[in-house]
Parts: sequence; structure tokens; C-alpha cells
Amino acid sequence: MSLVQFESFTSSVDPDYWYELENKKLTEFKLDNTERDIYATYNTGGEHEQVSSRIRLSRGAFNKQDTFNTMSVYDFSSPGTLLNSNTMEDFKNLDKKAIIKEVAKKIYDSIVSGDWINDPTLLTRFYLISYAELKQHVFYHWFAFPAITPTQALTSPTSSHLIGKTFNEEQVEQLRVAYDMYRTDNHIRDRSFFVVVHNQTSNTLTINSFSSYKEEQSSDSKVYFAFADPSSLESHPGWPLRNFSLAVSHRFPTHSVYTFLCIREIPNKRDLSRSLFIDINQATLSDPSKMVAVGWEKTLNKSRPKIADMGQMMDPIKLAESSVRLNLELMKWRMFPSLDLNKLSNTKCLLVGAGTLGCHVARNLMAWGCFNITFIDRTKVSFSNPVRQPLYEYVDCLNGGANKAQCAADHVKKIYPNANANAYSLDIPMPGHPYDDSHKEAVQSHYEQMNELIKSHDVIYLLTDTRESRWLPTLLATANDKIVINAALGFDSYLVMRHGQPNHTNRLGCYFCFDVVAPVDSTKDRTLDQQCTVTRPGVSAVAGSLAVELLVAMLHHKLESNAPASIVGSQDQGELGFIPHQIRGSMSNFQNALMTGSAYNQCTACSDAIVKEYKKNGFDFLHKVFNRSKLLEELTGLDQLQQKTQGMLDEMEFIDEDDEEYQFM
Amino acid sequence: MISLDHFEKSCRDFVSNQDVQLQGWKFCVVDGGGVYLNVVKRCDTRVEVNVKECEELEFEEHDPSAVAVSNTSVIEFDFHIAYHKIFKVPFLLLRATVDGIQLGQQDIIQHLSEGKDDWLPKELNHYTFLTQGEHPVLGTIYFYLHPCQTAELITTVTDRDFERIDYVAVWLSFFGRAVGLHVPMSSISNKKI
Repeated sequence: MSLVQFESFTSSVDPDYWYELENKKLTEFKLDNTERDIYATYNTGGEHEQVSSRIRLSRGAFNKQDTFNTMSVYDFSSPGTLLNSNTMEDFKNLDKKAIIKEVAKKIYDSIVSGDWINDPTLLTRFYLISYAELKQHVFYHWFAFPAITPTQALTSPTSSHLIGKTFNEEQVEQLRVAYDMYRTDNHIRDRSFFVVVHNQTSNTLTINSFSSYKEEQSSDSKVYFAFADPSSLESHPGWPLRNFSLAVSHRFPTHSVYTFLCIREIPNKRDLSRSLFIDINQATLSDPSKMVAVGWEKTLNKSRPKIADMGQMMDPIKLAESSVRLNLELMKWRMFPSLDLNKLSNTKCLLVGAGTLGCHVARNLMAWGCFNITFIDRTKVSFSNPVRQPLYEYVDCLNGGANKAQCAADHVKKIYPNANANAYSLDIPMPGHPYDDSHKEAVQSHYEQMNELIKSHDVIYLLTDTRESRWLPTLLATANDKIVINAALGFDSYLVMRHGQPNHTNRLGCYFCFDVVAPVDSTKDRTLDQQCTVTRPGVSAVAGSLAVELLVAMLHHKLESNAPASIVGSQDQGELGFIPHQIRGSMSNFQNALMTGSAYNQCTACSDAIVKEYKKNGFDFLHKVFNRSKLLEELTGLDQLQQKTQGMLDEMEFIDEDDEEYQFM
Repeated sequence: MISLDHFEKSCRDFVSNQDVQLQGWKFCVVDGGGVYLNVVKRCDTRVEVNVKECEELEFEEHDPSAVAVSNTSVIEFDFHIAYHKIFKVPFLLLRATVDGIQLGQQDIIQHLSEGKDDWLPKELNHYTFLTQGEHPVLGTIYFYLHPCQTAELITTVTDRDFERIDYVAVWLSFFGRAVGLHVPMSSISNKKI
């Protein structure tokens, strides 16, 4: 006499069930945490020992009919109850022992009352407790498959054996055909437990549902109590047999031993050969008050809940992330194998100016997967902005207008929630824009913030609408050896360029290298129409795109920002082709010209004399420059140059009427 | 490119083949939602069951009548073929789960390319096109192979009228290989190509 050991169910919850639960929780259940009917399915075992005794919940679990509709003839259903807690605390505090006892009691009652005869699936009733962490899309869940423990543990007088030991091949085939017919002719609920009667005289096998089976006393008939067995283990029957054997013992109490047929049919294979016979001794139910039940699902040999983390699949932000990534990866796989997406995504860009150029640059950076973007701007969004500046909307202009830098950062995050977008509302101190001493402290603090921001970023984009506002960031970027990309607009022309850095070989010029005057207040003589840059609208979009493409091209050269300037016909190219120094374009003839210019040793922004003076005297030096920009010309010796030139011009008696600079120069 | 109607007909033709049925292919119709083909394949290779700890809730339940549960399981691949309305071609969707717990993209790629099962492909390259998106019929998220070059590729097989070929079978003979789905020869009738 040996103890019979059963293989427990292992739950396997289809991802779609969680979608369904989340949906129902949000739209239907809400805070209502009453019990719900659910339906699970299982297959017969025999094929894969590794996925033996799996019980599944799928998308139709909440609807009996949906579940039945999707079941094939190889699927068996099991009725269950869901208790979805509203909080983790509730979930933890559920009385697991009381729950399993209560569910087992229902099974017990159906055995005693005989209800199971009409619906044998009641013997496999299960219970599921869960807690849905909807923000993270994490689902804590725990199944109970109650098995009632009889007064004495279930034992067998013999050991189990394969069907082929009792039935010959012909009989196995006869059984298979009979079972096929039986399934088609009977209700789904009668499919999983039934009676096989073998008439030994006529050698015929007949299958009866429990509701139609009448116990015969005929001595030439052998009765087998059969069930769809989810187990694939060679010597252990599956979990449903535990309650089933008790139900059979209780229903047909005159036997001392019952022979059970564990049907294991490999779906689609017409193969019953893995089925088992097992004899089990008569067992008795204990008193209802003393009833004991076991069956909380074990995972890694311990009774504990399972956790399904669906965040990757259900979190729309993660989906956006993977889709954006895919788009860039496609470019990498198809066109540009050396595309360094990590480099782009790690590059921190500081956008000085959040106007038309700032918006276009930010948009294009995002398209390249570069999401570390910080905006500096001191203005507010005005009514004329949204139509030209693609990060703003009409509502941003209301009530005096939103803070522009912050508004830009907010919109970047709306476009892509994972973007690391930040904003600083800063006044950029400018040469030739004097201020009272009372403002000195404020100016100094703005300078210091600006300096910190430049230090903490990799690339500085100069996108403001005046020449002099570019001076301080140019100087600070030079002093901190940072990449600078500069874009400036005229009415129908644009300049996009990169600045050389101090340690570069054949250092390229900065924006100010091509001037022989220090920056002065250029807005003084402007008209009152908000002192806006008046340009053909497409100019900023083109220049904004070029400013980003120039950076990306540069980052894909082995020397990065030290890459020599490409000119037409040169071999100096990166992975993406040309890396020009300056792109000067004109919308009036739709042409670009690539230009190269070396750093000028008398430059008012990047020359050694200025950088040295700044490094030596810091803000004191800047303070003087802001109040008197001529100082820059004196320091660099530009004043002498100007005098010399003036002298030469006077000698030539040449009078230049029109010394107006190009708007973008 | 094929029409939705032709796709549906082609799917029905495909699953009417007995060898295809033996592989486990099912034709699924969702009320008011469309149609798709589905097959589930299991790997024989064992994988450790990945369990997140939830220690405070553990308890011991003494039950001598139960067999110890195995700590390993297998990966189950759930393949779908649905119709892509923009590219107007079939496309392949998939999920991989271990007892219901979904595998991420990297794990899927790894198992498809390095798995020991006979049916798995050994070479990888198409997989890098694996991305996540909504199942056009079920509305939930699956991984799928990007369908952008499908129409072009099919044209290399036949320049004849697509209505006359076993489109789904021919298509699958190309795209199924990438994930180890092999098309029974009997499902493609030579004379039609």
C-alpha cells in the first residue's frame, strides 16, 4: 500500500488576462472588490513534462461563454472566483487559510449533495486573489486549488501503470474514438470527468457522463472512473483526481478500491498512449467541522504569490521609448551602421534662446534621439510666436504668456515624456548693455548660472536673435572647452557654424572672429514691433535643421569637434560626409555656401587675450565689458587696427557710405 | 500587396491543409474585429522560473500527498499572422512567455537565435527588426516583424497576379524562417506560382 502523490496545478496567466483585468478594474469594477466568477482552462498532459499541469487564464476568463467559445476539444474548463484587492495591504491581510477552507467547503458540499454529478467541473473549483498595481502595471496574484484532505491520506494498493498494460492497441483506439464522440455529444462540463465501462464479454467500451451513469452490478463489466489528467508525470496523477476520488468514494461507497483512468491525450496527435491506470483505496470525508484543505499554489517550492510585471508591455511611455528607438535603429541597420545612438542620447545640449531656432533645434535633436535638452530664455510666449515656433500653442500666450523656456521644456516632455528637458529663465548679460550698480548682483548671479549650465552641458547652441547676446556664452564655452553650434538668421539668409575650441589643431573661428568691432547694442535702432527678427519663415526651420545635422555629423567623426572643416572637393569627411565650418545659405536663390575661417587672434570673444583676462578677473572683467564694450577692442588691439585702417582709408580719401553689417554677421 | 478579403481567403486556404493543421495552426475570427492565424510553439529547453520575492507572504503548507513542483519551465512562443492595413501585407506578431510571464525583446532575440530546439532558426538578422505594437485584431501589445519590405520581397517570387497564389503560405515561407516557422510543402501548390 503506497501513498498516492499528486501533481499540483501551476498557473499560467496569459498577458491578455491582465489587460482585461486592468480594463475592467478601471471601467467596471473601480473600487468594488466583490468576488467575480472567472474561468480557467487546462489541457491533458502527456507531451511536455516541463509544462505539465498548467492551468490557464486568458482574455475571456471573465465570461463563461467567451471561455467556452475559445475552447478546443482538448481544453477543459475549471470554474473559479477572483478576489481583486484594492490595496496591497488588503491583499496581504487576506486570511489565506480561511479562504481555502471556504472554497473547499463548497466542493465538499457539492460532493455531499451530489451536485457534482451534474457539473463535475465543480470538483476543480479554484480561487484567485490578486492586487493590481495599475500605475506600474504589476499584478500580484495567488491561486488556490483546494484539495480536500480525507481522514486518511489517499493510498493505492498497487502502483500506477500506462494504459497499454491493461488495454491492447485496439482497445486504446476504441476508447479514443468513443471519447471523441462523447466530447462532441456532451456538454463541456461533462468532458473532464466521466465513466468508462468495459464490457468484457462483448469487448466493448462505452463512455457515460456521471449524470447518465447507473451503477451496474453486472460481473462481466469493469468500471473505470476517468478524468482528463493535466499531469505529464509518469507516475503521478494530476490534481483533479484528489477531489474526484473522494467524490467517487462518497458516491459509490460499496467498493473498497476504485480504478481510475487518467486520460492523457496529446492534442491533435490522436494519441492516448501516455494515459495511466491507478487504483485508489476507498477514502472517507471527515466531518464538515473538521474538514482540512490544502492547495495554495507553490512557486519554487514555497507557498507564495506570483508577480506579473507587465510594465514593459502595458506602459505607454515604455512603448513610445521602444518605438522611437526602433525608428532610429532602422536607420542604423539599413543606412548607417556606425550610427552611435548612445552617444547621441548621452549628449547634453544647452539651447540659448527658445525662439524659432530653439524650437526647431529641439525638435530635430529629439528626432535624432537626443533628449537631454536645456532651454535658456528670459521672455514669455507671445501671440505671434506659436505659428512660427513649433513648440508653442495659442493657450501658452494667454494671461500674459507663459515663461518661454519652461513652456518649451514642458512641450518637449509632452512630445516625449522620457525627455530630460529643463528650463532656466535667465537674462544674458551683454557687452554694451550697461546697467546700474544696483543690478550688479543680479547680473552676476545670471552670469554664474549661465557658467554652471555651460559647464554641465556638452554642446552649447547659440540661437538668440542678437549678436551681442552670443558673446558671453561664446566666451564661457571657449573658457570651458565646449562645443558651440551657432545659428543666426537674416531676412532670407542664415548662418550655421561651429566654433573652434582652444586645443584644436588648425583652430576654426568663432562667430566673432570675423568682426573687427566689438559687439554693441544692436537693438537700439529697431522698430517697435517687439524687436523681432524679421525673416522668411522657412529660414529658421532650415537653419535649425542644419544646426542639428552639423552636430550629428561632427559627433560621427573620429575627432569629433576637432574634425577639420570640409570644403568642396576635400577628403576631410566623417561617417556622415561633410563637416563644414560654416554654412551660409540664402533663401533668395536657394543655395548654400560652405565656408571656412580660422580663429582670429584678435577676436573679441575667443582670443587668448580675452579668455586669459576672463580667467584672471572673472566677473569683474565681465562687469567692465558689459558697461563698456570698447574694452574688448582695447584688450585685443582691435582699436589700434581700426585706427590704422582708418588712417589708410583717409589717405585713400575713400568714404564708405554704407557700413551696415550683415544682419547675421 | 493583397486585399483584406484575399488575406482572409488565403488564411482559410492555408489552415484547410492537413499538414498545416498538424502543426497546430488555427484560424481565429473575432466578432466585428477581424481575423488572424495563430500557432503556439514550445521550446524543449528548460528555463529557470523567474520569481520575484514576496517573502512576507510566504507560508508553509504541509501536504505529503503533493509532488514537489518543478522549478523549471519552458518558453512558449505564441505566433500570430494578421493583416497590416497600411502596408497591405500579412505580418507576423509574436509573444514569448514562461508560464504566462512575458519575455522582453532581448530575451526573445536571444532564445530565437541561440535556443537549442531544432525548430528554432540559428541565424539572426531579421530579428533586429522586432518591435512592439498593437495587435490589429486583439488590440493588445505584441512584438512584430516590421512589414515594410514585404510587398517588394513577394514580388521577387512572382510577378503574376497575387490573387492566384497561396499568398499566406508563400509569404510565410519567407518570413516564418526568421522565427523558425516552416511551411509544409503541401500547402503551396507549384502550379500556381
